[in-house]
Amino acid sequence: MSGEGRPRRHESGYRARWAVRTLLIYLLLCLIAVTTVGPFLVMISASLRPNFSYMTFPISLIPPQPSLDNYVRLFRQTAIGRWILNSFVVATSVTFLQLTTCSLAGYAFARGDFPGRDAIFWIFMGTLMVPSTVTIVPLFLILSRLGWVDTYAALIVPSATSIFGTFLLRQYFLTIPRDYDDAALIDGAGLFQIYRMVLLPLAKPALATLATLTFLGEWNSFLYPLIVTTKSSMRVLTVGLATMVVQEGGAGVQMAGATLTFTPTFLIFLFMQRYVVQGIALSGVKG
Amino acid sequence: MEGQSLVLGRGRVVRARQVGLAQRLRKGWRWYLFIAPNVVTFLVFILFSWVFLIYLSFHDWNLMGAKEFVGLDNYVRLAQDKVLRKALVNTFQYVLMFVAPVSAVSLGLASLVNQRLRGIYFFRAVYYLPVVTSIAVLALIWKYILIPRPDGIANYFLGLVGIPYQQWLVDIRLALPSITVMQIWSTMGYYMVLWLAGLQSIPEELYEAARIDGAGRWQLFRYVTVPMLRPTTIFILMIAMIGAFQMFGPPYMLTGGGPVYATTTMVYYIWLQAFNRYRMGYASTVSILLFAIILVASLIQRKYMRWSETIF
Amino acid sequence: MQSSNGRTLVTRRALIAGGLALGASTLAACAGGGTPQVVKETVVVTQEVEKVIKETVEVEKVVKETVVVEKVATPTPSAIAGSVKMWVFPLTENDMDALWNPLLSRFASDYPNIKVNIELLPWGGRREKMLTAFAAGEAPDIAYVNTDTLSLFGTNDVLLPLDDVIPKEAWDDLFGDLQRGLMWEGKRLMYPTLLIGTGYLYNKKLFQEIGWDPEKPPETWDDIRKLGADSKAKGYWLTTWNTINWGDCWVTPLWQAGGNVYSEDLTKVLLDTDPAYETLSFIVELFQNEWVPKEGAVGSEAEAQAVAAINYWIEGKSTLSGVGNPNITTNTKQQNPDIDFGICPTWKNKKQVQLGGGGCWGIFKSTKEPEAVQAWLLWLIEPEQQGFYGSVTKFAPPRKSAWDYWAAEPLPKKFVEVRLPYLAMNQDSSYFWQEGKTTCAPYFQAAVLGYQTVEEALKGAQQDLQAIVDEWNAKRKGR
Repeated sequence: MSGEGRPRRHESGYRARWAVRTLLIYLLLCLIAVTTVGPFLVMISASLRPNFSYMTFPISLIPPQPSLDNYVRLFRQTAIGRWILNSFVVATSVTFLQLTTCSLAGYAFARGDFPGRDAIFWIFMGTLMVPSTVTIVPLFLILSRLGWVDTYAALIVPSATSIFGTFLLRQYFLTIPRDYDDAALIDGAGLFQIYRMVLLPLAKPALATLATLTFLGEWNSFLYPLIVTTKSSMRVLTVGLATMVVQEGGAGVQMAGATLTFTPTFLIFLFMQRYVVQGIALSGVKG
Repeated sequence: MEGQSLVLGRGRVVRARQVGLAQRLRKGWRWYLFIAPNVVTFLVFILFSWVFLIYLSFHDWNLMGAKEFVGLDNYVRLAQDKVLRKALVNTFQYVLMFVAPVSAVSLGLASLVNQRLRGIYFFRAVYYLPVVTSIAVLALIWKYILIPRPDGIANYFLGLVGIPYQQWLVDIRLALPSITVMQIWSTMGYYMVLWLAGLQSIPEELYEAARIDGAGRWQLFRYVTVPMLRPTTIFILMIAMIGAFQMFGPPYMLTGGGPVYATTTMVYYIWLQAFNRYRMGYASTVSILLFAIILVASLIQRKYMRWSETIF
Repeated sequence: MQSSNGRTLVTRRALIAGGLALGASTLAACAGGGTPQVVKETVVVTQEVEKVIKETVEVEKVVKETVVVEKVATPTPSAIAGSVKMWVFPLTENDMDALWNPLLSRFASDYPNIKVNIELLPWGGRREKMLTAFAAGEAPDIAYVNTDTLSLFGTNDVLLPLDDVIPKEAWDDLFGDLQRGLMWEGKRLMYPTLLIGTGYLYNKKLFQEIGWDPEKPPETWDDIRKLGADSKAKGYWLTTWNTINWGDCWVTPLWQAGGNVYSEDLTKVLLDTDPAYETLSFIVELFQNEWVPKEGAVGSEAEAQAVAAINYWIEGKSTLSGVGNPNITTNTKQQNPDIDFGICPTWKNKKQVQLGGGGCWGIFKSTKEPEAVQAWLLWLIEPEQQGFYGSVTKFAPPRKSAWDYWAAEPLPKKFVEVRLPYLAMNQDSSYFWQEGKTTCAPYFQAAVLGYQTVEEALKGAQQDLQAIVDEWNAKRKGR
């Protein structure tokens, strides 16, 4: 998808212009990349210093005596495998559940005609408008009454649906022409078949985007898991790493932990973007 | 349904609704199955929370002891609270400073990375990095960058272009803008990803057809990309705005709402009341106010966009 | 620990063997029967301790000896049964292995029928978690509580009074004023497990450079002013200061100036007094003369518990350190061994005093296992256990008799001893801590940054805080 950029082939000298333009683009990409990757590099660099607790100016990114000491100390924490497992279970479950429920609901709100459609949608939108700072208390009360404290259910079920995801998919479905629906209808397809056969395959970019954002959001979530779980066997990675943070202590381990939390998300993002989103060229399908 | 007619506007619509209601239910009942999971989760988890918060707004509760009924006291306090007014002003300022720039910047980024170049996925992931870096690390980095002396990094760059050094987070006028820049930087990757999904839904043929008709790059952007992106634009602007109204991380992590309340936002103030002053009832009241504000803002935003239009 | 340092490993093993032999023969001499049992226990505990405490060989030896010294008389296992849920927060990188597992295994031999579940929770978000848990009735049986939460817990009557639970000797065994800080409406609600007494270090080499005697640290506020000026003249910082550290950066200097935050009966806020004026003026001086970095003027509580972006002290750019706990001595040595530092005494203005406090254990009234949890608490606060706790966490034990079992490194110990006589507690240490901190910080910031005069700032803080106190008192009367 190069959008509007490619020069017309029949123009003379296009190759030279194209090369210069490409070079400039790469330059710009790198410039921006430097600003976003900087903190990340500092984080990794700090995690490789055994006694990190401060920064010097100018920052030396290459640690003078790099060592994996912090990571060793991190993994000596025997429960860390459990933390990672919990985070992974929760993140994948929530992602899968949200992909399902949000696409179903998004379809209904984009295509459906039923009484109360807009009202219900805006009531759901209300959930985005109340800060979680205060809703955590009644939510925890409910979970406590249900007996779900310290269970996977508490970590997964309340996030099984999401109006954010529903909204995202609704908007995406709106970009798909109704002609496809109608064609399928004429062929005798029911609502669900239209959803499954026509719209869902066409919505892969949105689905992949939602999956990425949801997974990463759950993976990095801290306050909610902290409050609904106490048992160390139910601890997720973010909370577990926080139990190693000591005031005035060496922050190297903290940085190692942050790098550890971060790495799978980076890899997953790359995977999602490259293999799932890209290549879903819709050329020839629409229009 | 009354709600329906309120949302769409009175008068003309009401009659149509009343006539077709039974018919529409008969034709469209299956749709309810599609939204059933959302409805169930909402009823079990969300509705109770909202009712509870409303209930709490008439009580005084420090989360440990008993709830004490205080009638409208919390609402009276709401009207007289000077710090709350500051929080409101700060929040509105932030929304205005954040939403448009972050949307534009992230759209620019998305367009930039939407090209078939080698290694483009790597760049996308790199731009997404700040979104997944923990707030603790980000706070550390930004505090370092924004050191209020000539040798701080930000001031160093200012010095290169001859601007005198600034106090950044220690300056009442600059603290909130500094945080805004920090937030734009750390969330632009997030919105970039959302824009990308929309950009990738635009068929290549449209661009080809327009080019054949003689459109240049800027015209392609204006007449093909922008209209096709409308649903995505609506989505992003709304999500960005709703999120901006609830900005919490930097005040919590970096400034404690200071200096002198300059970075106290609504949600930070709510957190302060709930967990620092132990006034859960009042915190609920302020939350209700915030909810109302966001709802009104969203509905206004909705009014100016073509909400339900399908592209073709 | 394994292969890379084979020789050290062998040396350590030799030391352990030697220590054990010594210990075993000592015990055999003292205890008569039961020697093989005790030696085996000692070996097990020693190995665990050795596995995780890696600082120096001396510390390991000292700790091993501590472990060997106790358990002279093995009490008969008690018949009390139950399960106890306890919440604690990390004081070392690996509290479970270094601290709790050894304690739990020892406890199990005395009370085999009591099962203790220790949940280690992070410092970040602890108030949210604790309060939400209480709101839903999911509170633990016993937890680590700080003395600054006394008014919150006390007002809500959620803590079990410990006057009858803990014997008189244990109360009298506490240092100085500590008991005052644990008392609410005449009842003592918490029992301390570690002593809080912060202080400053000074850089001897930098002292020489700026013309100060390296053996004479600053003692009075005027000394500090002079030190600040002299440090700045040579391009060094004096220390770091901030407006949100309530205890060290407001209460302590206020006490030194002869004032208090609250009146003893908790009805009045005393911020419109001369001592408060003097204190805030002093703080404003520190910032406006640029003796301390300006970024300290703005900060959050969450940040204070995270990593500092720059530590000028460790870099050798500051004549005094920032305020710290006893482990600032060992941390400095570890992070920059080149710094030759000394320990500052408690500073003196009209009084020589500083905020003392304690990290404590509190039993919650909602506990369903009162007998079991009380047995656990009583065992945990015994001198041997407190000493061990202090050895691992590097804080000083609050019981005098526990110091016999405290395998303290010399520097943290000296740090504590220097200020021990001046630690005090009163109503300021425990009441309205959070409220005071966040209400006054904006006013202090305004004064420090020059947006308000000291009088205006104090007047504003006084009004706001007094309103909070009045509201609280009105509710109390209504009960």
